[in-house]
Amino acid sequence: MYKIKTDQFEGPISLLLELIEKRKLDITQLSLAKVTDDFLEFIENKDNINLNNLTEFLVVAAQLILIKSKALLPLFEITPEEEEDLQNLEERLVEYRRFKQIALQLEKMFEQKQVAFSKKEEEIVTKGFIDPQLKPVDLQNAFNKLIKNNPSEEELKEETLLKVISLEEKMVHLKSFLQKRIKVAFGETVAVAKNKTEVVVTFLAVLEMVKRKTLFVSQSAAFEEIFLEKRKIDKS
Amino acid sequence: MDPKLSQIEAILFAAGEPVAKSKLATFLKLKEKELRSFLKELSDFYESQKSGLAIVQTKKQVQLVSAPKQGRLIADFLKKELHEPLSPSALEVLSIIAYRGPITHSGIEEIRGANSSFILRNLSIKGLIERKENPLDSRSYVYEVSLDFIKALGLGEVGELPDFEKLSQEEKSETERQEKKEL
Repeated sequence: MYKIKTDQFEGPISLLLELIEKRKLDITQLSLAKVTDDFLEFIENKDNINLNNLTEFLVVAAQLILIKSKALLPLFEITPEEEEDLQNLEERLVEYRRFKQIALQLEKMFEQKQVAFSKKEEEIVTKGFIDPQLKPVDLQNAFNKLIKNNPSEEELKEETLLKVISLEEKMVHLKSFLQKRIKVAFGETVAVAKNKTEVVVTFLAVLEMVKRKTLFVSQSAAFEEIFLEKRKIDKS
Repeated sequence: MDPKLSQIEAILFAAGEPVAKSKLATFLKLKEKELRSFLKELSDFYESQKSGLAIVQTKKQVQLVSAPKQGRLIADFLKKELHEPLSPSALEVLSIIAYRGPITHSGIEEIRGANSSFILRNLSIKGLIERKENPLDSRSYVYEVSLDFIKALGLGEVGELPDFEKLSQEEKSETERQEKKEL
């Protein structure tokens, strides 16, 4: 058995109970008056408490101060409403202590690992009707018939699909080429082409860009190098 | 074995998963009370025979499972990891829900005096608790332990928890007090 020791208290009730138990006291208003100082000291050092629950701690702190004042000043009178609050605080402590003990019992039960297992819904296989006249040879005949009627597998030629660059991709590519330089030879743009298709796509891209008027093409004579130039957008 | 008992056993076996008691009762033309006593009989039968089977149930569901006594054996056989240990706060929240469920979020926090949202979410994810709409107030939810919780502890039903009678008796006064407060 091991016990996890946490210095952070999640709520005021667990802190209060710990303080009372540390002094081996019962849960009474007198004990609460005795641990008031400890409690206040504890929340002064805010590192030890969970700030999300700070309000809860402060409410209980106020109630403790009330209890202590009552214990010290016999003539100090509290309202019936306050009396009920204090009564309630005591009850909550008793209740919390009870569940803290049960939690330990639950832990032990979990540790015994007496777990019940269950299964998924059953796939029910219905036993079908089988012709009592059936002989093994009938199965053989049926199987042979099946083989005969089943055409032999046609062998398909293996063909690898090549990734082809799209026209759009190529246009973006050309644009970026022309961003760096003013004039580019077509030969240069296809120098790294992996296959003929890519050269064709590049040329189609050039044509498309000419059509869109984003590119200017020049060639001194047939079969000479084609030069690509970015066309200045005519705003007029 | 009573024919009805054998029918219940067969259905629970074939279903495997939890079966709604209401559905079972309607199907077998039994009153819920009769079904309850048949289930008790079946559960006692398994126990007295030291059977490898057992019955687990919540108020609404019932399931046929392997006997909790064979828990370790089955876990080894199926190479299943059992629940990892729960934190002390998670155990606190779980015990409050087990004894006082169905209980609201605020009801849990009133007992613990601390925010419990994170723990509730965690226990839900682990499948140990279930959230339902609050019948008294549809804006909020109530929490109850699940059938998986009962199975993980090796109980037949939640009422077999230690001191359940005594501790759940106070449930009424607690909820009554809360209801009064709300009115």
